[in-house]
Amino acid sequence: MPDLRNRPGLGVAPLVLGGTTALLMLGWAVGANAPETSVLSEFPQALVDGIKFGLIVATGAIGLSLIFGTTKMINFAHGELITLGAIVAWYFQSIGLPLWLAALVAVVAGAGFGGALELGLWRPLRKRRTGLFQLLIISLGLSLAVRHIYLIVFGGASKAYSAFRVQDSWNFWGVSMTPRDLGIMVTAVLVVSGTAWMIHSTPIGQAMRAVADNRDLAEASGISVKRVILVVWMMGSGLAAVGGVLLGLDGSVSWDMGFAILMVVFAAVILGGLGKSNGALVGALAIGLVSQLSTLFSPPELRIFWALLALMVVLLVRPQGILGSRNATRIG
Amino acid sequence: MDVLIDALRTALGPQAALYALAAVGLNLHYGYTGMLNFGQVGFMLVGAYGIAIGVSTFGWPLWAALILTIVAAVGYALLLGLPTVRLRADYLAITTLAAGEAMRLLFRSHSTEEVTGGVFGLTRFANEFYELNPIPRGRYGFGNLVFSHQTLWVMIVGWVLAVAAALLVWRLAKSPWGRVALSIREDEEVVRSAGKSVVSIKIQSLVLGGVMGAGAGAVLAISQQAVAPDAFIPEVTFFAYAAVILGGVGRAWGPLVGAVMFWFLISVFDSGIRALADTGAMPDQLFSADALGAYRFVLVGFGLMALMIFRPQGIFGDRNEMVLGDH
Amino acid sequence: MTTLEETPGSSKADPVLVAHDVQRWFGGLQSVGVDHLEIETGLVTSLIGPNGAGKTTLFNLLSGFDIPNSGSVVFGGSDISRAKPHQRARAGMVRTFQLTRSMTRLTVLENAKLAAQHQVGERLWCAPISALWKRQEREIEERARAVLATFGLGRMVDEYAGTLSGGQRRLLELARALMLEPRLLMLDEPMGGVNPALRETIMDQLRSLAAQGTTVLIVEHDMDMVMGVSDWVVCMAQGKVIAEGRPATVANDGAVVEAYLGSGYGDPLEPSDVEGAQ
Repeated sequence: MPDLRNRPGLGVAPLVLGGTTALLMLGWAVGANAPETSVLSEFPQALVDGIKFGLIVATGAIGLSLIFGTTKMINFAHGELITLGAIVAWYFQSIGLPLWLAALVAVVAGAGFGGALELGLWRPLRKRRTGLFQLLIISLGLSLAVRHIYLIVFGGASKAYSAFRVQDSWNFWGVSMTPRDLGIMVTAVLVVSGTAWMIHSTPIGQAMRAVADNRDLAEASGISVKRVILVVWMMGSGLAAVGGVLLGLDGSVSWDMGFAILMVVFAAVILGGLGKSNGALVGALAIGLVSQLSTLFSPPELRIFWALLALMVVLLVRPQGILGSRNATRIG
Repeated sequence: MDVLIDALRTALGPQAALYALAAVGLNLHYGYTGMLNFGQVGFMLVGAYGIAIGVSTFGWPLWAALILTIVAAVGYALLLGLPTVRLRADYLAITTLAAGEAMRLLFRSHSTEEVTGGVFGLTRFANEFYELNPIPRGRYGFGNLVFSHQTLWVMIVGWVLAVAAALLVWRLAKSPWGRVALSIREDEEVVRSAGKSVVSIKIQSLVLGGVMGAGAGAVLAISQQAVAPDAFIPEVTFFAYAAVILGGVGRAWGPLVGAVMFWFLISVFDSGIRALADTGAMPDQLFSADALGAYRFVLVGFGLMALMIFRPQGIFGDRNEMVLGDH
Repeated sequence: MTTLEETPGSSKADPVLVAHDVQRWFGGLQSVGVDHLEIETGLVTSLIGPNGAGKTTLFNLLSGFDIPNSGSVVFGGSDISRAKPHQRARAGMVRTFQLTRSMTRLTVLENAKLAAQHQVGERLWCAPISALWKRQEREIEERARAVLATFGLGRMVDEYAGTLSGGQRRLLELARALMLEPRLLMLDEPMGGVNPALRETIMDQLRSLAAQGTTVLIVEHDMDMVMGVSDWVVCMAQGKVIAEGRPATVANDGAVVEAYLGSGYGDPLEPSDVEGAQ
């Protein structure tokens, strides 16, 4: 069936707000019997942390969404692309490169790895007309293998970037923030808006949207679909690498950090509507807020749990996501 | 020689039996109904903790805990299935994977510690099971391949369950129910146009295969007399997939053969890695304690990829059947 | 039939299907906007119209495979607007697909048997116990073999459906649809991709179905077929019903000719299909 039903994105803002409020209310209900640790006073901090986390998730989610949009395949190995960025940057800064340069190397390495995967694995598989189920299991196998190669090479311990380990934090309106936090957020905003500009205003971005919209039509109108998909893989992997560096900066670098966050990235992408890159940003912010605001009423180790619960609720009430079109989720 | 004995012990032992049981359920989902369940481990967690919490936390008898386990598994399957079975196949994959992880995080959290035992889990809840053991105390086997009477008892129960599950799947596959399930795997729209409810058959399949997964979790809990949340990492599901694919996708007895093959290969491979580490021919850093355990996952990951690329129907699958398919 | 009024949306003596105000929008474009349409029981009705007229979309809306933005569908006297596709099929509204669909890795016989209704063995609790459904299964199998034989697939029953040619798949789809014993048989381009020899088989089958009084609704481009088997023709253009009536009346209707010419599709009476022209 054609998946063309696309009602105007009516009521997106109420949905985001309503959902977040509902979760918060639930939280207050749950945390009501907890001692008066002034949920209200901690709220601004959680809000800022949520936005920061959401922005980091967005760099991963937009890449995943772009790849899904053009290839219609969900890349279960996307977490490993995130980890790759963090590890490569860690290695180069540990041998003395300044972090910004190490991060740049990581992005190039990430894009290179993504491009190599497309050329060496996915493109030949598409040529063989490998089915969706097989592709998903292959990406899963890839994730499993690569993740444990990281474990063997990088080791099981978490490591932090040596720069900015300890910083004095600024305090305003009850929110404490280090220059590092601000750097993470500014970088993420720049990268995300740069990507959005590229998708909406450059020829290659237009080609990407055309391929995502209708691949056959794009092919027929002279767009090199092969090239677009290669660019998308490189771009998505490069974005994932950025996400990895930011995530490593925010916490620490470990072999399974990408896999640990993968579910959150999926949640963001589905929340925003599979294949919609602007949806991925909205979804990531929403999921970041949900997970951080949950710490107001529930133990911090359950942050991801709440994010995943939010995903389940969204699938139940609005499976096409906040910005998605309805038929895109249906089979056939 | 010892390597092979060890491998055989693993391939016949409780571990292989419970993976076989989980894989039979997974095969019902993937091979017969065309549903991509990436979170069979979630069902195993529910099964294992159902027993452990029932006995340890609530102080119930084992049979009551077993009923709790089955009810919980059915509930979990409905929770996952109802929102997702109407959607594209990848949504079920993501949801099951995410739900499995969410369960693990919830069960290891401080906030649930009173019930679940937190990070350390629960122990010694299966005494009743071992008291039922009819096998006289002692060691049984040939040569170096011996099992204690307790291990043998778990093994027998585990394999009987796995065989019974495979038998059920085999009967189902030959029935009109199986015809609808297989047709769903092929083309859902046709099944709808033929007046069948795709949703209800998929839900039934998800529940039944999920309960088998929960059964595997229960066997795991009982065989170790302990459960801990971090035994239920997503990789467990992928091991079960490897067993399904090795044995032949959509073949009723495949998962049993596959699980035995899988654990035999893994055991031999692990021995090989340890031997390689002992020779000292490679840098020590590659064989740290962390790294030693990681190689088998690399093997399984690349193995899954290779099988899916070159023999998606499995080693014993019917090649003709696969060539015709679009999946 | 002679008493039926030949105007768009006219009411029929004994309609099996009544669609009212059925609208479907894609983005800002209206794909289907049918004010009123009735399909008379016991006739072969053809739905024609230039490419993009919304015929297949209307088909999907009627059979429940797509959901209209507004409107109601009444089938056999009961409102089925909210019924799921499988519920509509059970009620006797059976469709085929424009691009043939079948379970390629099931045998031809299994494909046909799937479509039989009220199978005891489809209940999970009964399925493992073959004694409960063996007899019914034998009856279904006999019927399936008989239906397949009438479509000339008698010797193919044990082949995988994936090995059939395009035309044979059309026949299998028809056979599968008949296994449901439909009250209304809805065929989406039954002649698409079918070679001339098999076309005759399909035409014959449709004529004999019509003779038995089965109600059939066909979407078809092939005008030979439309004129050859239809009792009634409904013409759509740009999502609306612009004309309906007996084949000869519609063929000479000014609005119909204009719709086809305007679309660059050519005269509806000219065989437009390459295969049909041979």
